Amino acid sequence: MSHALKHIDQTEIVSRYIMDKNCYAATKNRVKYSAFMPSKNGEVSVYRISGISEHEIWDIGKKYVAEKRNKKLRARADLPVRKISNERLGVISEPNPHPLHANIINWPEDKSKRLLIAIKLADD
Amino acid sequence: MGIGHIDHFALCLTRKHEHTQSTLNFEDRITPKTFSIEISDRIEGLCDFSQEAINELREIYNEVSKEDWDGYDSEAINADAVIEASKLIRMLPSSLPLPEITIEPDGGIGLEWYKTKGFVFVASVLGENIISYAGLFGPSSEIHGKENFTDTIPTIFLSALNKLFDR
Repeated sequence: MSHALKHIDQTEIVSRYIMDKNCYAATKNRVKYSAFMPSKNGEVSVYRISGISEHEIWDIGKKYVAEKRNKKLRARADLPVRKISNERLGVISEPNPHPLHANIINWPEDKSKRLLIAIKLADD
Repeated sequence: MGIGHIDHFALCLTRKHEHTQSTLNFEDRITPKTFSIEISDRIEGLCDFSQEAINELREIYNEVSKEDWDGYDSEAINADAVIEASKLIRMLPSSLPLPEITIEPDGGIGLEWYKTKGFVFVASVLGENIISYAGLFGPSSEIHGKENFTDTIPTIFLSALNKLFDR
């Protein structure tokens, strides 16, 4: 992987693919904070979408996220990397299963702090 | 934020009609009836809050009673968290709006009061006799913390919700 692809710039946008209706409130057309709460591994899986087409963005979500899990892709939430960094979280490239895959890391141990950060990310 | 790509943030539904369809699809799922009976009995034995809230919790429990419900290796919903969430709802003053119920990847349940952008409060339980909470009250006011789960609603929750709803 090239250095340029490994480095994630603050101006980039990342997308969180959503496969469960509990993670968004469709009637109010908003993503819920739970979409940004970290998994067991303490990370939030996202994809870097700056510079690629809408078709490519959805295609990655379907092929590399939903289909691999036998789930239906329902929605996605886009977020600027700068917004994530402002919460003292990191975004690192993790190019498996796709070169544009990344993880949001450095989540605090305290759950109430994680809640507050996830609320802020969802509220943007 | 709306459907489509709007400035910094977008919640993008795959297709509008899929949302309606997906909601109906959830109703078709086979639910573990023994679990739902057990849970509803335990809830109803503890408190008598509205049937609507009982039904919503039961429905959510049945939907996400298995691991990986979100596709990201999430925990199954914790039955004790359902009980705690039920008790917490019952403790709420009737003057306050009922919260939206949100499931969390660690198996916890969040009660979320969303007023508008920048104004939201969440109380989260995991069946461990602790309530974790966090809230935003505009651009320069936020709180977070933990309270022990007791038989009364924590004062800080009432203060936060009153602040959120300008009461």
